[in-house]
Amino acid sequence: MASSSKTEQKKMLILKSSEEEEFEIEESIAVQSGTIKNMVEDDFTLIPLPNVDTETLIKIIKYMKKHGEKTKSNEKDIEEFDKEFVKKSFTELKELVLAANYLHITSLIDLLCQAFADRIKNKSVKAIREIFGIPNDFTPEEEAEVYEQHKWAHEEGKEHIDHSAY
Amino acid sequence: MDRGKKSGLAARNNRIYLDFKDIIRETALPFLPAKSLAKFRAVCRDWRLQISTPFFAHQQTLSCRSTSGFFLQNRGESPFLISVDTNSCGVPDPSLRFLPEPVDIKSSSNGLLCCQGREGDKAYYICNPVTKQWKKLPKSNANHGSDPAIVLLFEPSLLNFVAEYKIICAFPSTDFGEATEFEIYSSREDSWEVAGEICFGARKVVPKSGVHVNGVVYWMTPTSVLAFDLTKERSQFFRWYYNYGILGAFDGKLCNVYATGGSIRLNILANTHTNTMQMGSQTSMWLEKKTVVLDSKIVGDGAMSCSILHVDNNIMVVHSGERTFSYDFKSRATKLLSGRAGINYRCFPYVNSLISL
Repeated sequence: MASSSKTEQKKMLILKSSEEEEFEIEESIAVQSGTIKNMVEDDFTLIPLPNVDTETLIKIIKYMKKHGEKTKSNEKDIEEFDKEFVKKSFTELKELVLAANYLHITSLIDLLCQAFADRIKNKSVKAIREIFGIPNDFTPEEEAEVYEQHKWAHEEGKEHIDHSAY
Repeated sequence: MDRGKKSGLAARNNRIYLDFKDIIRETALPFLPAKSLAKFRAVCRDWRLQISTPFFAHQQTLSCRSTSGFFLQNRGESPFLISVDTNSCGVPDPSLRFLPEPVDIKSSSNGLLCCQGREGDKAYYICNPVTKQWKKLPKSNANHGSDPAIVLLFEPSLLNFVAEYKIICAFPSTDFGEATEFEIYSSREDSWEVAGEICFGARKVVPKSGVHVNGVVYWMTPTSVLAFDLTKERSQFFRWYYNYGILGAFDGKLCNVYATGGSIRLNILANTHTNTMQMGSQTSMWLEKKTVVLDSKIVGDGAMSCSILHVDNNIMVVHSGERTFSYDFKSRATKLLSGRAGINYRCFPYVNSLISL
Protein backbone atom coordinates (compact mmCIF):
# COMPACT_ATOMS: atom_id res chain seq x y z
CA MET A 1 0.00 0.00 0.00
CA ALA A 2 1.29 3.44 -0.80
CA SER A 3 1.92 5.50 2.29
CA SER A 4 0.03 8.76 2.60
CA SER A 5 1.97 12.02 2.39
CA LYS A 6 1.08 12.76 6.02
CA THR A 7 3.19 9.94 7.51
CA GLU A 8 6.85 10.41 8.44
CA GLN A 9 8.11 7.78 6.06
CA LYS A 10 8.03 9.02 2.46
CA LYS A 11 7.60 6.50 -0.29
CA MET A 12 10.88 5.90 -2.09
CA LEU A 13 11.55 4.67 -5.59
CA ILE A 14 14.67 3.26 -7.18
CA LEU A 15 15.74 4.55 -10.56
CA LYS A 16 18.14 2.36 -12.49
CA SER A 17 20.35 3.81 -15.21
CA SER A 18 21.30 2.08 -18.46
CA GLU A 19 24.59 1.16 -16.74
CA GLU A 20 22.63 -0.64 -14.01
CA GLU A 21 23.43 1.90 -11.28
CA GLU A 22 20.63 2.49 -8.82
CA PHE A 23 19.47 5.73 -7.22
CA GLU A 24 16.93 6.14 -4.46
CA ILE A 25 14.51 9.05 -4.77
CA GLU A 26 11.28 10.15 -3.12
CA GLU A 27 8.25 9.23 -5.18
CA SER A 28 6.76 12.69 -4.70
CA ILE A 29 9.81 14.17 -6.42
CA ALA A 30 10.18 11.50 -9.11
CA VAL A 31 6.66 11.89 -10.42
CA GLN A 32 7.64 15.20 -11.98
CA SER A 33 8.52 12.73 -14.73
CA GLY A 34 5.37 11.71 -16.58
CA THR A 35 6.98 8.44 -17.61
CA ILE A 36 7.86 7.53 -14.01
CA LYS A 37 4.41 8.62 -12.85
CA ASN A 38 2.82 6.17 -15.28
CA MET A 39 5.01 3.36 -14.03
CA VAL A 40 4.24 4.19 -10.41
CA GLU A 41 0.55 4.01 -11.22
CA ASP A 42 1.26 0.54 -12.54
CA ASP A 43 2.80 -0.26 -9.13
CA PHE A 44 6.47 -0.19 -10.09
CA THR A 45 8.93 0.82 -7.35
CA LEU A 46 12.08 -0.14 -9.24
CA ILE A 47 12.12 1.95 -12.41
CA PRO A 48 14.56 0.76 -15.08
CA LEU A 49 15.65 3.54 -17.42
CA PRO A 50 17.57 1.81 -20.22
CA ASN A 51 17.62 5.05 -22.24
CA VAL A 52 19.36 7.16 -19.60
CA ASP A 53 23.03 6.77 -18.67
CA THR A 54 24.29 7.30 -15.11
CA GLU A 55 25.85 10.72 -15.63
CA THR A 56 22.69 12.09 -17.19
CA LEU A 57 20.45 10.48 -14.59
CA ILE A 58 22.40 12.11 -11.78
CA LYS A 59 21.83 15.53 -13.34
CA ILE A 60 18.15 14.84 -13.88
CA ILE A 61 17.69 13.75 -10.28
CA LYS A 62 19.40 16.95 -9.15
CA TYR A 63 16.97 18.96 -11.28
CA MET A 64 13.91 17.14 -9.99
CA LYS A 65 15.04 17.49 -6.38
CA LYS A 66 15.51 21.25 -6.78
CA HIS A 67 12.18 21.70 -8.52
CA GLY A 68 10.44 19.33 -6.13
CA GLU A 69 11.02 21.78 -3.29
CA LYS A 70 9.45 24.73 -5.10
CA THR A 71 7.78 27.22 -2.78
CA LYS A 72 6.72 30.82 -3.24
CA SER A 73 9.82 32.09 -1.51
CA ASN A 74 12.53 30.28 -3.39
CA GLU A 75 11.54 31.24 -6.95
CA LYS A 76 14.67 33.36 -7.46
CA ASP A 77 16.80 30.55 -6.07
CA ILE A 78 15.35 28.09 -8.58
CA GLU A 79 15.81 30.65 -11.38
CA GLU A 80 19.51 30.83 -10.48
CA PHE A 81 19.75 27.04 -10.38
CA ASP A 82 18.16 26.75 -13.83
CA LYS A 83 20.50 29.38 -15.24
CA GLU A 84 23.52 27.45 -13.97
CA PHE A 85 22.04 24.09 -14.95
CA VAL A 86 22.13 24.88 -18.67
CA LYS A 87 25.75 26.02 -18.58
CA LYS A 88 26.88 22.71 -19.99
CA SER A 89 28.45 21.50 -23.19
CA PHE A 90 26.29 20.98 -26.26
CA THR A 91 26.73 17.20 -26.00
CA GLU A 92 25.70 17.17 -22.34
CA LEU A 93 22.61 19.24 -23.16
CA LYS A 94 21.79 16.86 -26.00
CA GLU A 95 21.92 13.83 -23.69
CA LEU A 96 19.82 15.74 -21.16
CA VAL A 97 17.09 16.73 -23.59
CA LEU A 98 16.82 13.19 -24.95
CA ALA A 99 16.47 11.90 -21.40
CA ALA A 100 14.09 14.67 -20.35
CA ASN A 101 11.94 13.89 -23.37
CA TYR A 102 11.98 10.16 -22.62
CA LEU A 103 11.11 10.85 -18.99
CA HIS A 104 8.56 13.44 -20.05
CA ILE A 105 9.61 16.21 -17.63
CA THR A 106 7.95 19.16 -19.35
CA SER A 107 9.60 21.99 -17.44
CA LEU A 108 13.05 20.52 -18.06
CA ILE A 109 12.35 19.95 -21.75
CA ASP A 110 11.35 23.63 -22.04
CA LEU A 111 14.38 24.83 -20.08
CA LEU A 112 16.75 22.83 -22.29
CA CYS A 113 15.02 23.83 -25.52
CA GLN A 114 15.23 27.50 -24.56
CA ALA A 115 18.95 26.96 -23.97
CA PHE A 116 19.34 25.35 -27.40
CA ALA A 117 17.39 28.18 -28.99
CA ASP A 118 19.71 30.72 -27.36
CA ARG A 119 22.74 28.86 -28.67
CA ILE A 120 21.58 28.44 -32.24
CA LYS A 121 19.76 31.70 -32.91
CA ASN A 122 22.85 33.40 -34.32
CA LYS A 123 24.16 30.50 -36.32
CA SER A 124 24.28 30.42 -40.08
CA VAL A 125 22.09 28.04 -42.04
CA LYS A 126 25.16 26.01 -42.92
CA ALA A 127 26.21 25.71 -39.27
CA ILE A 128 22.71 24.54 -38.30
CA ARG A 129 22.87 21.76 -40.87
CA GLU A 130 26.24 20.64 -39.52
CA ILE A 131 25.21 20.76 -35.87
CA PHE A 132 22.08 18.68 -36.36
CA GLY A 133 23.28 16.55 -39.25
CA ILE A 134 20.57 17.82 -41.56
CA PRO A 135 21.15 17.33 -45.27
CA ASN A 136 20.18 20.11 -47.64
CA ASP A 137 17.23 18.60 -49.50
CA PHE A 138 16.26 21.69 -51.48
CA THR A 139 16.66 21.82 -55.22
CA PRO A 140 18.78 24.81 -56.31
CA GLU A 141 15.61 26.59 -57.45
CA GLU A 142 13.82 25.96 -54.15
CA GLU A 143 16.82 27.15 -52.19
CA ALA A 144 17.09 30.34 -54.22
CA GLU A 145 13.38 30.94 -53.66
CA VAL A 146 13.49 30.50 -49.90
CA TYR A 147 16.45 32.87 -49.61
CA GLU A 148 14.74 35.42 -51.85
CA GLN A 149 11.45 35.30 -49.94
CA HIS A 150 13.20 36.12 -46.68
CA LYS A 151 16.13 38.13 -47.98
CA TRP A 152 15.93 40.57 -45.07
CA ALA A 153 16.67 37.79 -42.58
CA HIS A 154 19.83 36.72 -44.41
CA GLU A 155 21.37 40.03 -45.35
CA GLU A 156 21.51 42.21 -42.26
CA GLY A 157 24.20 41.72 -39.68
CA LYS A 158 26.02 39.36 -42.03
CA GLU A 159 29.34 40.13 -40.44
CA HIS A 160 28.16 38.84 -37.06
CA ILE A 161 26.69 35.55 -38.19
CA ASP A 162 28.29 32.64 -36.41
CA HIS A 163 29.36 29.98 -38.89
CA SER A 164 30.92 27.71 -36.33
CA ALA A 165 29.26 24.37 -35.79
CA TYR A 166 29.46 24.49 -32.02
CA MET B 1 24.25 2.58 -29.84
CA ASP B 2 20.92 3.69 -31.13
CA ARG B 3 19.69 5.98 -28.38
CA GLY B 4 16.04 5.94 -27.54
CA LYS B 5 14.84 4.08 -30.60
CA LYS B 6 12.79 0.91 -30.39
CA SER B 7 11.29 -0.91 -33.31
CA GLY B 8 7.54 -1.32 -33.52
CA LEU B 9 4.64 0.87 -34.49
CA ALA B 10 3.70 1.72 -30.92
CA ALA B 11 7.19 2.97 -30.19
CA ARG B 12 7.35 5.10 -33.34
CA ASN B 13 4.10 6.82 -32.46
CA ASN B 14 5.19 7.41 -28.88
CA ARG B 15 6.62 10.89 -28.40
CA ILE B 16 9.03 9.83 -25.68
CA TYR B 17 11.16 8.12 -28.33
CA LEU B 18 11.66 11.21 -30.50
CA ASP B 19 15.19 11.64 -31.73
CA PHE B 20 17.24 14.75 -31.11
CA LYS B 21 16.53 16.39 -34.48
CA ASP B 22 12.78 16.00 -33.95
CA ILE B 23 12.90 17.41 -30.43
CA ILE B 24 14.77 20.46 -31.69
CA ARG B 25 12.44 20.96 -34.63
CA GLU B 26 9.25 20.59 -32.63
CA THR B 27 10.14 21.98 -29.22
CA ALA B 28 13.20 24.23 -29.51
CA LEU B 29 12.34 26.17 -32.66
CA PRO B 30 9.30 27.89 -31.07
CA PHE B 31 11.65 29.60 -28.61
CA LEU B 32 13.45 31.39 -31.44
CA PRO B 33 12.76 35.00 -32.40
CA ALA B 34 11.13 35.61 -35.79
CA LYS B 35 14.24 36.71 -37.67
CA SER B 36 16.19 33.55 -36.81
CA LEU B 37 13.16 31.55 -37.89
CA ALA B 38 12.90 33.37 -41.21
CA LYS B 39 16.55 32.52 -41.80
CA PHE B 40 16.19 28.88 -40.75
CA ARG B 41 13.46 28.19 -43.27
CA ALA B 42 16.43 27.70 -45.58
CA VAL B 43 17.84 24.79 -43.55
CA CYS B 44 15.75 22.02 -45.09
CA ARG B 45 12.23 21.22 -46.29
CA ASP B 46 11.07 19.88 -42.90
CA TRP B 47 12.14 23.06 -41.15
CA ARG B 48 10.58 25.24 -43.83
CA LEU B 49 7.30 23.37 -43.43
CA GLN B 50 7.42 23.39 -39.63
CA ILE B 51 8.10 27.11 -39.43
CA SER B 52 5.36 28.09 -41.87
CA THR B 53 2.35 26.49 -40.16
CA PRO B 54 -0.20 28.57 -38.21
CA PHE B 55 0.17 26.14 -35.31
CA PHE B 56 3.87 26.88 -35.19
CA ALA B 57 3.24 30.63 -35.18
CA HIS B 58 0.92 30.05 -32.23
CA GLN B 59 3.55 28.03 -30.34
CA GLN B 60 6.19 30.66 -31.03
CA THR B 61 3.93 33.44 -29.80
CA LEU B 62 3.58 31.59 -26.49
CA SER B 63 7.23 30.57 -26.14
CA CYS B 64 9.19 33.58 -27.40
CA ARG B 65 8.28 36.33 -24.93
CA SER B 66 11.34 38.41 -24.14
CA THR B 67 11.83 41.92 -25.46
CA SER B 68 13.74 41.66 -28.74
CA GLY B 69 14.24 45.33 -29.30
CA PHE B 70 12.72 48.79 -29.29
CA PHE B 71 10.94 50.81 -31.93
CA LEU B 72 11.97 54.43 -31.67
CA GLN B 73 10.24 57.29 -33.39
CA ASN B 74 10.49 61.04 -33.46
CA ARG B 75 7.23 62.78 -34.29
CA GLY B 76 6.86 63.35 -38.00
CA GLU B 77 9.70 60.97 -38.86
CA SER B 78 9.76 57.27 -39.74
CA PRO B 79 10.11 54.76 -36.95
CA PHE B 80 13.19 52.55 -36.72
CA LEU B 81 14.02 49.42 -34.77
CA ILE B 82 16.92 48.88 -32.41
CA SER B 83 17.40 45.16 -31.83
CA VAL B 84 18.86 43.67 -28.73
CA ASP B 85 20.62 41.28 -31.11
CA THR B 86 20.48 42.21 -34.79
CA ASN B 87 21.23 38.71 -36.01
CA SER B 88 18.33 36.96 -34.39
CA CYS B 89 15.75 39.74 -33.98
CA GLY B 90 14.48 42.02 -36.67
CA VAL B 91 11.72 42.93 -39.08
CA PRO B 92 11.76 43.23 -42.86
CA ASP B 93 10.59 46.85 -42.89
CA PRO B 94 11.19 48.76 -39.65
CA SER B 95 9.85 51.99 -41.08
CA LEU B 96 6.47 50.28 -41.49
CA ARG B 97 6.11 51.25 -45.14
CA PHE B 98 3.86 48.25 -45.70
CA LEU B 99 1.06 50.23 -44.04
CA PRO B 100 -1.17 52.25 -46.36
CA GLU B 101 -0.02 55.63 -44.98
CA PRO B 102 2.77 57.09 -42.83
CA VAL B 103 2.00 56.51 -39.17
CA ASP B 104 3.01 57.39 -35.64
CA ILE B 105 3.42 54.40 -33.36
CA LYS B 106 1.24 54.92 -30.30
CA SER B 107 1.69 51.73 -28.28
CA SER B 108 3.12 48.23 -28.44
CA SER B 109 2.33 44.96 -26.72
CA ASN B 110 3.86 41.49 -27.11
CA GLY B 111 4.73 41.77 -30.79
CA LEU B 112 1.86 43.98 -31.94
CA LEU B 113 2.04 47.69 -32.72
CA CYS B 114 -0.81 50.16 -32.57
CA CYS B 115 -0.24 53.08 -34.94
CA GLN B 116 -2.12 56.15 -36.04
CA GLY B 117 -2.22 57.82 -39.42
CA ARG B 118 -1.35 61.49 -39.66
CA GLU B 119 -3.87 62.67 -42.27
CA GLY B 120 -7.62 62.85 -42.65
CA ASP B 121 -9.43 60.51 -40.30
CA LYS B 122 -6.20 59.74 -38.44
CA ALA B 123 -7.16 56.09 -38.47
CA TYR B 124 -5.74 53.53 -36.08
CA TYR B 125 -3.90 50.49 -37.37
CA ILE B 126 -2.80 47.29 -35.63
CA CYS B 127 0.10 45.47 -37.20
CA ASN B 128 2.65 42.74 -36.70
CA PRO B 129 5.81 44.25 -38.22
CA VAL B 130 7.50 40.92 -38.92
CA THR B 131 4.63 39.24 -40.77
CA LYS B 132 3.50 42.62 -42.17
CA GLN B 133 -0.10 41.72 -41.37
CA TRP B 134 -2.13 44.80 -40.56
CA LYS B 135 -5.68 45.81 -39.83
CA LYS B 136 -7.33 49.21 -39.94
CA LEU B 137 -9.55 49.74 -36.93
CA PRO B 138 -13.07 51.12 -37.18
CA LYS B 139 -13.50 54.79 -36.35
CA SER B 140 -13.88 55.53 -32.65
CA ASN B 141 -17.09 57.04 -31.29
CA ALA B 142 -15.41 59.75 -29.25
CA ASN B 143 -12.90 62.38 -30.28
CA HIS B 144 -9.57 61.24 -28.87
CA GLY B 145 -7.85 64.58 -29.38
CA SER B 146 -4.85 65.48 -31.49
CA ASP B 147 -2.39 63.24 -29.60
CA PRO B 148 -4.41 60.34 -28.19
CA ALA B 149 -3.34 58.80 -24.90
CA ILE B 150 -3.71 55.14 -25.71
CA VAL B 151 -2.43 51.80 -24.47
CA LEU B 152 -2.54 48.55 -26.42
CA LEU B 153 -3.12 45.40 -24.40
CA PHE B 154 -2.31 42.03 -25.90
CA GLU B 155 -1.53 38.80 -24.07
CA PRO B 156 -0.84 35.63 -26.05
CA SER B 157 -3.36 33.00 -25.05
CA LEU B 158 -3.21 29.23 -25.20
CA LEU B 159 -6.63 28.97 -26.77
CA ASN B 160 -6.42 31.62 -29.48
CA PHE B 161 -4.37 31.34 -32.64
CA VAL B 162 -5.47 34.82 -33.63
CA ALA B 163 -4.61 37.78 -31.44
CA GLU B 164 -7.25 39.07 -29.08
CA TYR B 165 -6.41 42.56 -27.91
CA LYS B 166 -7.81 45.75 -26.43
CA ILE B 167 -6.97 49.40 -26.85
CA ILE B 168 -7.76 51.92 -24.13
CA CYS B 169 -7.86 55.62 -24.76
CA ALA B 170 -8.12 58.28 -22.06
CA PHE B 171 -9.51 61.40 -23.68
CA PRO B 172 -10.64 64.84 -22.53
CA SER B 173 -14.36 64.74 -22.04
CA THR B 174 -16.35 66.89 -24.47
CA ASP B 175 -19.57 66.66 -22.45
CA PHE B 176 -18.03 67.67 -19.13
CA GLY B 177 -15.45 70.38 -18.63
CA GLU B 178 -12.22 69.34 -16.97
CA ALA B 179 -12.91 65.62 -16.98
CA THR B 180 -11.39 62.54 -18.56
CA GLU B 181 -13.32 59.75 -20.18
CA PHE B 182 -12.28 56.39 -21.53
CA GLU B 183 -12.98 54.54 -24.72
CA ILE B 184 -12.10 50.89 -25.25
CA TYR B 185 -11.65 48.95 -28.47
CA SER B 186 -12.07 45.20 -28.26
CA SER B 187 -10.84 43.04 -31.15
CA ARG B 188 -13.35 40.37 -30.24
CA GLU B 189 -16.27 42.74 -30.84
CA ASP B 190 -14.33 44.75 -33.44
CA SER B 191 -15.85 47.90 -32.00
CA TRP B 192 -15.18 50.87 -29.75
CA GLU B 193 -17.19 51.57 -26.66
CA VAL B 194 -17.07 54.59 -24.38
CA ALA B 195 -16.93 53.46 -20.76
CA GLY B 196 -19.53 54.69 -18.29
CA GLU B 197 -16.79 56.00 -16.01
CA ILE B 198 -15.99 59.71 -15.95
CA CYS B 199 -13.00 60.99 -14.06
CA PHE B 200 -13.43 64.57 -12.86
CA GLY B 201 -10.51 66.87 -12.18
CA ALA B 202 -8.49 69.25 -14.31
CA ARG B 203 -5.63 66.93 -15.02
CA LYS B 204 -4.50 66.48 -18.56
CA VAL B 205 -3.16 63.04 -19.30
CA VAL B 206 0.34 62.82 -20.82
CA PRO B 207 -0.22 60.93 -24.10
CA LYS B 208 2.89 58.77 -24.28
CA SER B 209 2.89 57.82 -20.61
CA GLY B 210 0.36 54.97 -20.57
CA VAL B 211 1.32 51.64 -19.01
CA HIS B 212 -0.65 48.47 -18.26
CA VAL B 213 -0.01 46.52 -15.06
CA ASN B 214 -2.22 43.66 -13.90
CA GLY B 215 -5.50 44.77 -15.39
CA VAL B 216 -5.06 48.46 -14.55
CA VAL B 217 -3.93 51.10 -17.02
CA TYR B 218 -1.99 54.07 -15.64
CA TRP B 219 -1.18 57.43 -17.18
CA MET B 220 0.79 60.38 -15.84
CA THR B 221 -0.74 63.81 -15.48
CA PRO B 222 1.33 66.87 -14.49
CA THR B 223 0.64 66.31 -10.78
CA SER B 224 -0.70 62.82 -10.37
CA VAL B 225 -1.19 59.34 -11.76
CA LEU B 226 -4.51 58.35 -13.28
CA ALA B 227 -5.46 54.71 -12.87
CA PHE B 228 -8.22 52.98 -14.82
CA ASP B 229 -9.21 49.52 -13.67
CA LEU B 230 -10.29 47.55 -16.74
CA THR B 231 -12.33 44.97 -14.92
CA LYS B 232 -14.24 47.31 -12.66
CA GLU B 233 -14.19 50.18 -15.18
CA ARG B 234 -13.38 52.57 -12.34
CA SER B 235 -10.79 55.30 -12.34
CA GLN B 236 -8.86 57.12 -9.69
CA PHE B 237 -6.18 59.75 -9.32
CA PHE B 238 -3.38 59.44 -6.84
CA ARG B 239 -0.54 61.79 -6.11
CA TRP B 240 3.09 61.24 -6.68
CA TYR B 241 5.95 63.39 -5.50
CA TYR B 242 8.08 63.58 -8.61
CA ASN B 243 6.20 64.75 -11.65
CA TYR B 244 8.85 63.74 -14.08
CA GLY B 245 10.34 60.50 -15.26
CA ILE B 246 8.17 57.73 -16.64
CA LEU B 247 5.89 54.94 -15.55
CA GLY B 248 6.59 51.29 -16.19
CA ALA B 249 5.84 47.78 -14.99
CA PHE B 250 8.42 46.24 -12.68
CA ASP B 251 8.06 42.92 -10.86
CA GLY B 252 4.32 42.95 -11.55
CA LYS B 253 3.86 46.40 -10.00
CA LEU B 254 3.62 49.94 -11.30
CA CYS B 255 6.92 51.76 -11.08
CA ASN B 256 8.10 55.30 -11.56
CA VAL B 257 11.62 55.86 -12.85
CA TYR B 258 13.41 59.19 -13.02
CA ALA B 259 16.90 60.56 -13.24
CA THR B 260 18.16 62.77 -10.44
CA GLY B 261 21.69 64.01 -9.85
CA GLY B 262 23.95 61.37 -11.36
CA SER B 263 21.70 58.44 -10.66
CA ILE B 264 18.43 56.88 -11.69
CA ARG B 265 15.77 56.02 -9.13
CA LEU B 266 13.14 53.36 -9.49
CA ASN B 267 10.19 53.41 -7.10
CA ILE B 268 7.36 50.92 -7.08
CA LEU B 269 3.78 51.46 -6.07
CA ALA B 270 3.42 49.43 -2.91
CA ASN B 271 -0.31 49.62 -2.53
CA THR B 272 -1.80 47.79 -5.46
CA HIS B 273 -5.46 47.83 -4.57
CA THR B 274 -7.06 50.83 -6.18
CA ASN B 275 -10.01 50.71 -3.84
CA THR B 276 -7.83 51.26 -0.82
CA MET B 277 -5.70 54.04 -2.26
CA GLN B 278 -6.19 57.32 -0.47
CA MET B 279 -6.00 60.69 -2.18
CA GLY B 280 -4.23 62.18 0.81
CA SER B 281 -1.44 59.67 1.37
CA GLN B 282 1.33 60.42 -1.06
CA THR B 283 4.93 59.40 -0.71
CA SER B 284 4.22 56.50 1.61
CA MET B 285 2.60 54.62 -1.25
CA TRP B 286 5.83 54.45 -3.22
CA LEU B 287 8.71 52.25 -2.13
CA GLU B 288 12.25 52.92 -3.23
CA LYS B 289 13.25 49.81 -5.05
CA LYS B 290 16.47 50.50 -6.91
CA THR B 291 19.07 53.14 -7.54
CA VAL B 292 21.07 52.79 -10.71
CA VAL B 293 24.19 54.60 -11.79
CA LEU B 294 25.00 54.22 -15.46
CA ASP B 295 28.50 53.30 -16.48
CA SER B 296 30.13 56.66 -17.18
CA LYS B 297 32.73 54.96 -19.37
CA ILE B 298 29.94 54.13 -21.79
CA VAL B 299 27.66 57.09 -21.30
CA GLY B 300 30.29 59.75 -20.80
CA ASP B 301 29.29 63.07 -19.31
CA GLY B 302 25.71 62.28 -20.14
CA ALA B 303 25.47 60.18 -16.98
CA MET B 304 24.68 63.43 -15.20
CA SER B 305 21.65 64.34 -17.24
CA CYS B 306 19.51 61.76 -18.93
CA SER B 307 15.90 60.93 -19.52
CA ILE B 308 14.29 57.52 -19.24
CA LEU B 309 12.52 56.16 -22.29
CA HIS B 310 11.40 52.73 -21.10
CA VAL B 311 11.58 50.42 -18.11
CA ASP B 312 10.57 46.82 -17.44
CA ASN B 313 11.76 43.90 -15.30
CA ASN B 314 14.86 43.26 -17.32
CA ILE B 315 15.91 46.41 -19.04
CA MET B 316 15.83 50.18 -18.93
CA VAL B 317 16.27 52.41 -22.00
CA VAL B 318 17.80 55.79 -21.34
CA HIS B 319 18.46 58.78 -23.55
CA SER B 320 21.45 60.98 -22.96
CA GLY B 321 23.26 63.47 -25.16
CA GLU B 322 21.76 62.42 -28.52
CA ARG B 323 22.36 58.73 -27.82
CA THR B 324 20.27 55.87 -26.49
CA PHE B 325 21.54 53.35 -23.96
CA SER B 326 20.21 50.22 -22.35
CA TYR B 327 20.79 49.12 -18.78
CA ASP B 328 20.27 45.47 -17.92
CA PHE B 329 19.08 45.00 -14.33
CA LYS B 330 20.41 41.44 -14.04
CA SER B 331 23.87 41.92 -15.48
CA ARG B 332 24.07 45.63 -14.48
CA ALA B 333 25.63 46.32 -17.85
CA THR B 334 25.21 49.61 -19.68
CA LYS B 335 25.21 49.34 -23.46
CA LEU B 336 25.05 51.83 -26.30
CA LEU B 337 21.96 51.12 -28.40
CA SER B 338 21.91 53.86 -30.97
CA GLY B 339 23.59 57.05 -31.95
CA ARG B 340 20.44 58.49 -33.39
CA ALA B 341 17.91 59.64 -30.88
CA GLY B 342 16.62 62.88 -29.50
CA ILE B 343 14.83 63.81 -26.34
CA ASN B 344 11.41 63.78 -27.95
CA TYR B 345 11.70 60.24 -29.23
CA ARG B 346 9.07 57.77 -28.18
CA CYS B 347 10.23 54.28 -27.31
CA PHE B 348 8.18 51.10 -27.72
CA PRO B 349 9.34 47.67 -26.50
CA TYR B 350 9.05 45.02 -29.18
CA VAL B 351 8.90 41.21 -29.11
CA ASN B 352 9.85 39.39 -32.34
CA SER B 353 6.69 37.29 -32.36
CA LEU B 354 4.85 35.60 -35.23
CA ILE B 355 1.43 36.38 -33.77
CA SER B 356 -1.33 36.24 -36.32
CA LEU B 357 -3.85 39.04 -36.69
